[in-house]
Amino acid sequence: MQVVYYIRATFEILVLWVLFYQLYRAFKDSRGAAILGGLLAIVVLGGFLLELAHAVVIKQIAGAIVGPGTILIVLFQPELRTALAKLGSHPFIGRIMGRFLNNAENRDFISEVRDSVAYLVSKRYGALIAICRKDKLSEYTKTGTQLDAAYSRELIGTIFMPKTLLHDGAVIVDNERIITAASILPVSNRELKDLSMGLRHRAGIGLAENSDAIVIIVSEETGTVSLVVGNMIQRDINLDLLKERLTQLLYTHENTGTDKKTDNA
Amino acid sequence: MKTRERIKKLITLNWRPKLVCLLAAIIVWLWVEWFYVRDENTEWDMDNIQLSIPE
Repeated sequence: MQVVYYIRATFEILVLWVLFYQLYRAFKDSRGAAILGGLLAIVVLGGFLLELAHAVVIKQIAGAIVGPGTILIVLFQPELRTALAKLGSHPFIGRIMGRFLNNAENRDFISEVRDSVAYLVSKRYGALIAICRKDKLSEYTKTGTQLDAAYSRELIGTIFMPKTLLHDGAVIVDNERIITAASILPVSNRELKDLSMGLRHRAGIGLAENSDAIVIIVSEETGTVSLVVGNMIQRDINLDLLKERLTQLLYTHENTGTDKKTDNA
Repeated sequence: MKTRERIKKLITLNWRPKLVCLLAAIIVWLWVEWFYVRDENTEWDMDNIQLSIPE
């Protein structure tokens, strides 16, 4: 009987181990990994302590509040995120928040991207910016120089300044932070009709083909901006449209564009 | 030799997360076993049951 008990215990622990490790692998590169880890730690430790202390009433209250609440937050996280982003970007909220925060803090990420691209265009600096979504592009971040810095117009302008060490290659942005600069991206073998699209464009298209990243390319020759998502390329996009498209792609979970026809390519 | 190499790789690759997951699995199993499964499987001790006898 004891042997059966130990075999059952070993089997169950092994199953749990595989389950936990697969969960870790699935979440390790995602934005919610740290949150999930913290949440699990609270649930496991809290639950264990409550059991030890026989705190039945607190356990009931915690179960009633935390259980359904957490499930709702986890299930509707994208919708909550979109709703909060919309609320935060509302002009009225912006004006109110502007009174309490200084301008630097109040600038949202997309405006910062727009301004940085405007700066690159005005200076005619060639640039390649990849913004991560679900894919964390870990295989490409390894090839670049690690930065992990807050996204800013000044930093982007400095990175892509010609003759600097980091200007060649791509900047990879994740979670509104610049993760790496001078990253090497896969080059697309697709036949491009437009001859003004050089190796930088090919690298941007190659990355978009292999991931769900949003790629912004500033042409050094023409000073035009291209937006590449999946198989879709938007050439010579103006800055306000770029801002609008980025808002759609980052906050309203639009598809990758892989099912859309290629434009001008 | 190939199998041994594979097992070695399986264990040594990402050993820290694997170890943490194993510890978590053991803790969760012990927790559930002690606080939930054992309580359900506890057999009644017939000698100590006080039967109420109607007067």
